[in-house]
Amino acid sequence: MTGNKSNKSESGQVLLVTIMLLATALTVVMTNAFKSITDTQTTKLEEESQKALAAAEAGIEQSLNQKTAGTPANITIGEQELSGIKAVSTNVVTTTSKLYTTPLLAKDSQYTFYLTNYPNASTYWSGSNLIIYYYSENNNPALEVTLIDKNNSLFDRKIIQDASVVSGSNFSSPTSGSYAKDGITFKRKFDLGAISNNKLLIVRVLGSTTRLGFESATDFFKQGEVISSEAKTSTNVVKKVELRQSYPQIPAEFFVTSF
Amino acid sequence: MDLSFIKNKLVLPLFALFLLAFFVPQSAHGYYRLCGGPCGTYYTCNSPYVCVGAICLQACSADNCGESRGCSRTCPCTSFAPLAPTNFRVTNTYTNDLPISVNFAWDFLGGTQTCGATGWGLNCSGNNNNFRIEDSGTPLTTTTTLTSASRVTTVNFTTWGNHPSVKVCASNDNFATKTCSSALSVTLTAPTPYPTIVISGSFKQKSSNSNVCYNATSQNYFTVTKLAVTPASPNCITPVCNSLPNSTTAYNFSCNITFDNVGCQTAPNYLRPTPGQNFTLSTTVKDYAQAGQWVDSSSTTCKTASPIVAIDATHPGTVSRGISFNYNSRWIKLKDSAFVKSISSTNYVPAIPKSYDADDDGSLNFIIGKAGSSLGLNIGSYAKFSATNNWGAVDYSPQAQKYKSTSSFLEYIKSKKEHQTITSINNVSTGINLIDADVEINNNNKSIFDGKNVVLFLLNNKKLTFNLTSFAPSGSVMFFATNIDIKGNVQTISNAIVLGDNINLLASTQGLKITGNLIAQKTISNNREVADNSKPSIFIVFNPKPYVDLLPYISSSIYDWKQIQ
Repeated sequence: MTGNKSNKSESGQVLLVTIMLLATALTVVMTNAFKSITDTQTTKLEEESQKALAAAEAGIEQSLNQKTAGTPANITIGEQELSGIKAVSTNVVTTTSKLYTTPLLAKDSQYTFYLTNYPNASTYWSGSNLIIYYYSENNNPALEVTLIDKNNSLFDRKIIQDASVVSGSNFSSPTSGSYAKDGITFKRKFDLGAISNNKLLIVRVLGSTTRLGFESATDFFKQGEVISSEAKTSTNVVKKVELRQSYPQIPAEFFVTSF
Repeated sequence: MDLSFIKNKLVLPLFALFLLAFFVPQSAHGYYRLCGGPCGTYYTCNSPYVCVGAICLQACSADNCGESRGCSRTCPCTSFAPLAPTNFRVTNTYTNDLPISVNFAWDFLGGTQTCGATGWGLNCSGNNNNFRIEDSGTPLTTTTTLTSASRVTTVNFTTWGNHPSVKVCASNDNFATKTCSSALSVTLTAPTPYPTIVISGSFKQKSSNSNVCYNATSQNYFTVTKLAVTPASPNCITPVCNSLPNSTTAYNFSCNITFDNVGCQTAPNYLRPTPGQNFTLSTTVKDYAQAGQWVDSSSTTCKTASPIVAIDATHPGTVSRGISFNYNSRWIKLKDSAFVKSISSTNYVPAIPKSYDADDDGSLNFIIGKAGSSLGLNIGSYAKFSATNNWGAVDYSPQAQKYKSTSSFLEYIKSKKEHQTITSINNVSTGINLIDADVEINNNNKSIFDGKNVVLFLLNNKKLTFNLTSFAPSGSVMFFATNIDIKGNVQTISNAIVLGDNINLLASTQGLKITGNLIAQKTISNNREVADNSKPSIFIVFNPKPYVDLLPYISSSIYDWKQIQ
């Protein structure tokens, strides 16, 4: 009798352990399965996003390639033209502005600001005073400003600085402050005054990097192309990108005499 | 009574007896207390009598000091001075330079005037006297025993001035007693001081390649680091040279040379300057490697000159000379441009620059006209970066840009720009032209650029060579090449931008003017030695027109992407 009771108790223990092992294994399997499904969904979304982004950029490329009189065209790409893409549409901004800001310009590089309608160069900007903003980063640079007039002659040169980047005299002194323009905070501004009959305003950045801002009460000519492009995938993932392409910039390394 | 008998028979013998008493020889040990008889011209005294004061007295020796000899005479206790020398005179013509040797001579008859004869007390000197020259009683010479045959001596005077009472004195008792001659006045006059010699004139700049010479001015001056003249024999000569108006802005100079022929004549050497001698110039100015040289002051050419100038203080006057400094650098001048260093760290502008042509104002500026800044270049001590504004920074460290070599821009062209690849320069057209061949621009093909706005890009390190006198297309051209040679015959390149990694300006005596721009990104070799290197060997006039004409081709765009959604 004692031997039977002992056998039954051992069988129960084995069963309990087996059940616990099975439960643990099932938990691991289920967890992995769920993670795999989630990862797959994330990857799929990322793929869709990349596809949408690439499609949006392709739309911009197509706009740039389909220029009409030098101006990029608005384009639409239908559902069948790109795999997995439901639609792409671009919008070329044609309006002018009273304020332009530049990307970050490296030390000793320069920015070519157009005071004429590019590429025809048939009219010249004039109007209110032209304000230049700079010193958007940590260091205070100097700006060398060159104006080329409508006769392709050198009209004027200035150096704007209040730090001793360059020695000499007759510098154009900027005004210190905090000037928020286009999401950028500039610490210096300089009023170039009223400018007319000039073609190009070339600003070279000396001493350190900065963004530049150009502002006036009078609209400037366009300074390049601004194209926005929206793409939607067949799974309704939407991506929208914007490209700002400047008009031709003369590199400083081609413009400044060097030896 | 016949008294004549008495007279004849008595008086005469008595008188003869009386006289005999005087002439009878006396014993050497005996003394006579009586005064002796007269002596002099007709009568002499027998020994031991000596004739003293026309009376024969018994002789005295040095031991008989104070002994009476009758007739109120006693033996003397001191020597009797010798006779005074006579005819004291100067026998030479002496110089003015110390020490002055004056030769004196005198006569001396010997004997003593007072002593009268030997044997009376102390020795009455005959010819054995000592002589010395005295100046107002102060001995000028040591005691000298002279024989009667050589009564001359020389006195070396070591000071100038008047010696009003120079005598020769004779003595026989070591000058306890002496007899002197009559006085001479000896006046020793200092020499006339040499005048200060002045060498003065202008600093000049000489071209290393010719004798072209330009005077420095108040606007074009030198910074003098050393200015001295050194005499061949420097004793007693003090040259003092000054740059005028000062050493920092010097355009004239003056060297005052003092020949001290008076104050320098001191014991023990009594030095004197050599009045006629050569002076060697030693002078340097900033930025000029070679030392300055003497040149004729009036000459407009700086002939090769000796570093020595001959000066004669005995022929005084101002010596006019120039000092030329040889400028031996090749330099580049800019107009309407800005500059940033890519390779060179120095481009010394001469102190006296001259115009390259009518476009060059000849001013002392690295960049003339509407100048921008000059960054990273040392232009020397004299020039400014530019007139008025003088914008620049010698120690500026430019940052390498995106297109720091021609190849980096080529990649951009190939990916972003419309371009054509040509196989012959004759096929060049407006736009970007890529060619994989060496190209020579010469008189035969220069016209193919006319009327076109061309970018010509040489591929694969091919060489572009300019081999013509003048390249001036009616359009605008920009050349990109790894290697660019500009031959010595090229004088002008216009309406063109020349950009190369390595630019070699081959040897020439002519200058080169580029209207457009020049950019050497890695090396530049300027071998142009113009005859007058006061003028720049390269004159670059920045012209914006090619940049505007070629804007679509030589530019890049800035792309700014933003993901909005």
